Amino acid sequence: MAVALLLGGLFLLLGATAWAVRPRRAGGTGRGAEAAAAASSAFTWVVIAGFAYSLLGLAAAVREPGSAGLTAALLQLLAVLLAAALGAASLGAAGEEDPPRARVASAGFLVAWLSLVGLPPAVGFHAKLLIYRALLSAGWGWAVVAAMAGSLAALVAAFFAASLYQPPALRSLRVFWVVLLLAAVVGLGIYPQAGIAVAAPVARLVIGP
Amino acid sequence: MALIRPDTVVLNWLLLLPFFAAICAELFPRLSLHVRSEREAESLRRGPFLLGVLASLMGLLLAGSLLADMSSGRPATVDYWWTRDFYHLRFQADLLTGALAALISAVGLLLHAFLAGVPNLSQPHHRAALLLCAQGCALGVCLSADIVLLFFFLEATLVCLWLLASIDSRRAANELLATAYVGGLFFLGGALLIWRTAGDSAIPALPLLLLSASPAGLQVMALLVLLGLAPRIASVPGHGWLNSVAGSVPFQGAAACLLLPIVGGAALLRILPGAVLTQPVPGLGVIALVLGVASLWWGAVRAWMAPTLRQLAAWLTVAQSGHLLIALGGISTPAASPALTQAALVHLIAAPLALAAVWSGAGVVRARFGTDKVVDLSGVARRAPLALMALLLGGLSLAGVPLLPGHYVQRLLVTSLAADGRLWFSVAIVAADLLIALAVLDVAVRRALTRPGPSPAARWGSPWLVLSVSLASVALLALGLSQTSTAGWAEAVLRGILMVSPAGSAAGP
Repeated sequence: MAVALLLGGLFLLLGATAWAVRPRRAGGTGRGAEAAAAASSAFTWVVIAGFAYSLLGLAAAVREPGSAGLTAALLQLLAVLLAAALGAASLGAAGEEDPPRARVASAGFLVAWLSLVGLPPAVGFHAKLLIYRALLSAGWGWAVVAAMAGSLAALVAAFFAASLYQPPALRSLRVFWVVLLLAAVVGLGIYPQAGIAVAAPVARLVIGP
Repeated sequence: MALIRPDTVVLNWLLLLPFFAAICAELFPRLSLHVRSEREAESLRRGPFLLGVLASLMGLLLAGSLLADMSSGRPATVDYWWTRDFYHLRFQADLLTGALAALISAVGLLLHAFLAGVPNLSQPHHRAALLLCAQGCALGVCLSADIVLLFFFLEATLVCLWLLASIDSRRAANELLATAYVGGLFFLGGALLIWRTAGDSAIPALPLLLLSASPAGLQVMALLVLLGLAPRIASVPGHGWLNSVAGSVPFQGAAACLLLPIVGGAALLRILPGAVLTQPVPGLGVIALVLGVASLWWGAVRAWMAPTLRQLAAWLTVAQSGHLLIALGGISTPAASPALTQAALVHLIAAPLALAAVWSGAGVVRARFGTDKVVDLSGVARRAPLALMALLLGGLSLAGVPLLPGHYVQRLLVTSLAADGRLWFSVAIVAADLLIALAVLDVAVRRALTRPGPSPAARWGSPWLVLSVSLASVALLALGLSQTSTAGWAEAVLRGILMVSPAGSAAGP
C-alpha cells in the first residue's frame, strides 16, 4: 500500500506540475479575463500538485511509522488549503482602481505562490521540508529528488502566472479575508509549531496508541 | 549568577533590529502625504535610507560589542522553541559569526549610504525596507546554529533580494531566483542527509555526530552543500544570474550582487570546514579546485573585456568565488594545511569589502556622469577622484596587491598550495590575479585618468555618495593595515574549529 500511495502521489505531482507549466496562449497580459484564466489554471494545477505532496507524506508514514510522515502530510494539507484560499481570494473580480487594495491583492497572490513553491516565510516551506524528511526516513531518497523537481516546476509555473496576470483592486470585504489569510500563512511560516500542534494530535489519533 | 546575560540580549537586538527598521521604512509614504515643498519631498525620499544607515551602524556596534565579549572564549547562544520535535530557533555568536555579522552590517551601511545619494530613485521606501529585511535574513544565516534555520534564512534572503531586483527588472530577478532556488534544492538535499546521519540539526554538534559517517556519505553531503551554494557565491557555472542583474538592473538594484555571495560564502564556511569535513574528502577537493580555477580565470578574462563598470564589478565577483572554492578544495584533501582554512576565513571578510568598494565606486561614477561605459570615462578620475580611488583600491585588493587585505589571502593560498605540491594551482592564481590587476588599472588609470578626449558632463554629487566611497576605501585600508589583528582573529577561529575536529585535536590548539 505504501508503494501504491507513493507512486500515485508522484504520478499526480508530476502530472499536475507538467500541466501547470504547459505553454498557454493568453490574450495579452495584465488584468484581462484571458490572462486571469491562464494564471488561475496554472495556480489550480499547482494546488493539485500540493495535495499530491500529502500523499507522499502518507506513503512515508505507512512505510515507516516513525518518520512523522502523517504529521507532515497533514501540515502540507493545511498549507495547501490556506494557500489555495489565499490565491482564490486574491484573484478577485475587477473593482475600482485603488492602488492600496491592488497591492494587498498582489501581496496575497505572491505569498500564496511562495507557500506552494515552498519558500519562506510561508508555511509551505516547513510542510515540504517535513515531507522530504519523512521520505528520506522511509528510505525513498529518489522520491525526494522527484518531489524537488515538482517544486521547481511549480516555480516555473509561478513565473508564468506572474508574467501574465496582475491582480486588480479588491472589494473591501475581500481585502479583509486576504489580510487574514496572509497573516495565517506567514504567521504559521514564522511559528510552525502552531500548525504542527494541530497536525500532530490528529496524526496520533489516526495511528492510534 | 546573572539572570540575564548581556551578550544574549545584544544578540537578540542584533537579529531583530533590521526587521524593525524595515517596518519603519515602509511607513515613510504616510509622511509624504503632508509635504509642502519639493525639498521636503526629496528629504523624505532619502529618509528610509538614512534609517537604514542608522540601523546598520547600530548593528555594527552591537556586533562589535559581541566580538569584544568573545575574548573570554564563551560564545553567546540563544535557543528558542520553534518546533517541538524537529528543529529549534538556535543562534550562536562566536568569533566567526560575530565577524560575519559585523561585515553584513558594514556592507549594509555602505549600500544604504549609496542609495541615499542616488537622485530620483523610484520606490525608495520599498527598496530600503527590502534591503533591511535582506540584511536581517543574512544576519540570520550567519548567526544560525541550526542547519534547518540556516536554510530558512538562506531562502528568505533570496526572496528579499528577488523582490528588490524585481523593482528594476523582473527578468533578471527571476533568473536570480531560479538559479539560486535550484542550488537551494541541492543544499536542502545535503542538509537533509546531514540531519538524518547526525540525528540532530544543531550545527555545533555536527562535527562530533558525523564522526561515524562513512567517507562516501560525507562525500555526498559535502558535494551537495558545495553544489547548492555555488550559484549563490556566483561561481561558474551558476554565475549567469549575476550577469543578468549587472546587465539590466541599475546600480541601485544591484545590491543582490553583494549580499548574496557573502551569505553563500558564510554558509559554506560554517557547514563545510566547520562541521562536515571531519575527514578529508578528496572527491570534493578535486571538484572544488576545478570549479575554483574555472571561476577565477573566467572571471578574470571577462573582467579584462568588460565594456561597463557594472560588468567589471560582476566579473570580479565571479573571480573572487574562485579564490574561496580553491581554498575549500585544498582543505578537503588529505595533505591540507591549516593555512588554507585561514585563507578562506580572511577571504570571506576581505573580498566583500573590496567588492563593496568596487561596486560603490562604479555606482558613483554612473550616478554623477550618467554612464558607466569604459570607453566614455576620459578624464572622469580628475572630477570624481574618490570614486575612482575606491574602485582602484577594491580592484587591486582583489588582485592581491601588497598592503591591501587581499594580498594576505593570496599569499596564504599560493604558499600553501605550493607547499602541498600543487604548484600549478599557485601559478594559475598568480597569473589570474595579475590579469585582474591589469583590468582594473586599465580602467581606473589608463582610461579614466590619462586618456585624452571629451569627458562626460558631470552632475552634482550628493554628500552621501562621497560618504559611501570614502567609507569603503577607509574600511579596506584599515583592514589592510591591521593584518596582524586579522591573522590573529583567523588563528583564533581556526583553533575553535580545530578543537572539535578530530584531524586537529591531535595537534592541539
